[in-house]
Amino acid sequence: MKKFIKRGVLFLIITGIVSLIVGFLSVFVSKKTFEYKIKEKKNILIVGNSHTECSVNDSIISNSVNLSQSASSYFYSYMKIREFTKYNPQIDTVIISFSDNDLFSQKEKWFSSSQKINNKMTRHIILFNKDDYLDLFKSNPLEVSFQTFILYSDFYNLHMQKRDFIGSYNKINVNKIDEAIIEFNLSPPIVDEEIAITELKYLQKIYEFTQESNIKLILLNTPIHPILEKHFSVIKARNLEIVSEKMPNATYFDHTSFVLENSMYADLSHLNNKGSNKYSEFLQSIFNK
Amino acid sequence: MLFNTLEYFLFLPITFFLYWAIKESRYQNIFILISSYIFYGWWDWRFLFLIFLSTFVDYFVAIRIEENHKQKRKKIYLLISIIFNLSILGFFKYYNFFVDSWIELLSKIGYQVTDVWTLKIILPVGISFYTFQTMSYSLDVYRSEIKATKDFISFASFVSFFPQLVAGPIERASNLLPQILNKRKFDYKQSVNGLKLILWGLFKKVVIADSLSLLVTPIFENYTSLNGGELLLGLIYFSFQIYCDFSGYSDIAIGTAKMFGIELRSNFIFPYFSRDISEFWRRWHVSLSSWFRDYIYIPLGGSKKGKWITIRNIFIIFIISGFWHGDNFTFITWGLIHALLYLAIAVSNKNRRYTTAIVAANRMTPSIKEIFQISITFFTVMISWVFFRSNTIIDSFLYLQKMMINFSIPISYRSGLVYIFFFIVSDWLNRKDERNPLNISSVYVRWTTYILMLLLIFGHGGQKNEFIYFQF
Repeated sequence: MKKFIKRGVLFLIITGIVSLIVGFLSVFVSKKTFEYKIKEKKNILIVGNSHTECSVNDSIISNSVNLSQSASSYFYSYMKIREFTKYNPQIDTVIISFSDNDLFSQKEKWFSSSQKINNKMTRHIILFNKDDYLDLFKSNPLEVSFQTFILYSDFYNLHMQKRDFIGSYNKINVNKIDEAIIEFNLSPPIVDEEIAITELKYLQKIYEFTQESNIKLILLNTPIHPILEKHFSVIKARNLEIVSEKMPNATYFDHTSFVLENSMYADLSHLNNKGSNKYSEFLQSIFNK
Repeated sequence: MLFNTLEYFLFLPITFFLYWAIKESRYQNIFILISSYIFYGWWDWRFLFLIFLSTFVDYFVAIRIEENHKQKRKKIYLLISIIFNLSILGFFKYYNFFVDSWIELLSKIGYQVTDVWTLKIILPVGISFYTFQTMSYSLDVYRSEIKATKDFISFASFVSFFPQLVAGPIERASNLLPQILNKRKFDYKQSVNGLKLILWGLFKKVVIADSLSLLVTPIFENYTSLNGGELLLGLIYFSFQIYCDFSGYSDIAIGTAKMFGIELRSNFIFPYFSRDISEFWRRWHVSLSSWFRDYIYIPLGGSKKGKWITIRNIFIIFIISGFWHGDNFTFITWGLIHALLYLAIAVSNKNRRYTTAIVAANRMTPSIKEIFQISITFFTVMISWVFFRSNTIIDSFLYLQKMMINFSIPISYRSGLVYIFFFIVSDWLNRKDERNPLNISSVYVRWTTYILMLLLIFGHGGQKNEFIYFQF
């Protein structure tokens, strides 16, 4: 047994060292080769979660680039804004998803749950700095430690999919609105008690960063199906208070009641390709003005 | 608890060291039992009661069978075990299937019945495996092939032994129970071999099967919009996905058991190198196919009672085998296809041509004839997998039709071929001993291979897909 333990420990140490070396090397190479630079004419950066990911088609809003990704905490959006504005001084506007449920207490998990860290950390590792890493580490030391040993795991995807791997417009062709309405009618009304503290903290960091950098921040509440609207009325009022109190210079676009046909939704809170095209044309017209 | 999760990565070493810290085999068995119940309860503790019940019934039934000298009474006790196990299996696995089929049948002849009888039943993981294991124990005692044990803890450990509890190999009491009853001693070589098998099994599951599943799922979901070449790729990928997924699980199970000083039966012996369909069934999911052979096919007369009885028996076991996989007509069709394929060679008495050695056992490469045989066997098995993977029989036929009529060079989904090429080469090089993979003599090359494999496993490990056979 002694021999087994001795060799086992030796093997684990060597494997750990090798994986750390490979991991740091892959991050180093990825950082060097990643295309942070976007086209000169694109001055609008869109970030956030699946709401902006599915609703804003950046091929229609020609001067924008959409880097939103589903289930993204504001933590990852903050890093995207910080890193991309560093390499692209032409960015003068940042649009970030700010849906009625984005500050729900359960969204706290988007930052600290093992599942989300597993899915997001190595994917975004090229955007991290030391403070980001420590913040995440404090929230879930075990998972972050484990992920540190596999920093190399998204090296291939990052090089194959390039910028799309950390976020892009998601063209959805399905329409599951009928099923979603049936499910919604069966589900109890949404009652939220507390705010996701970490999410709010990073949203404020985004606000402060854009203020310091003279960048216009637009909080975008994307279209949702009419039956969902009334369920969020209380939360919406609370969110508005937060915006006016903590982010007074941010612009808030509430497009939840934007009129769309049922065939233009993927589900109750996400647009499909048809809906996003119509909505993006509308956004384009706003920016043209 | 899944084998490919961080929880198992912690659970295994903890149980391993505690187990060997216990010196007496009796206490080791208690420890196995507790660990196994924790392992299973991690998924859903409520179903622990079912395992316990199945254990309890067969423990007492077997003792009663052995104590009674009258054949009639022995039979009654045996029937209690069979009826009990098949009832829980039938209820949890097939209740809704029968109700739905009955409602559909009635509606076809004009009666409209609402589905008030269908229930929201969760399928307890591993139920198809442990009920077969406990049933085989009672059957073996009835046939006087083994003695009934009076040691309840050991018997409960045999039923719930965590490495093979949820997806096999389906163990026989004659193999596993004596090992649990006897004293086990730590063996360095056995434990290292166990770790090698776990590594190889994880590699097959996480790196190959899960990567292929990322290609298989969109191909089968969008088969109407893809060309025939892409559909063929989807089928090839699924053939290897299910093989690597299930044999990977078996390797991890066998490897884990080895670390605890216990040898489980082999479950997959390079089935895709089979030269005909009968050899395939001697190499694919061996523990289940041999179960059907020993407890259904042979008692029904096997091939000894004339051609028609043989044909009937072949149909029976393959249809049951299909049905065992799930409550869908697609599985039954899959079983029927294999019955027909098997029948074609069984009626011409060619089903026992390749019973022992692997193809090209003493050569590096197979002959042209063998390559042809292997390709034909693989092709027929692959076609049958369409029925296994599709949601409905109509989907299966449409998939095959589109694949053949609309055939052209695949434009997308080609990346999976790299995994398959790598896997075939490594399986071929290793084909003489399924229980001893990664047999590399140079210590440096060996450790480098292990480390590289581990890095790939962790690098691919984000998805944590369930094993396909968990649903059965």
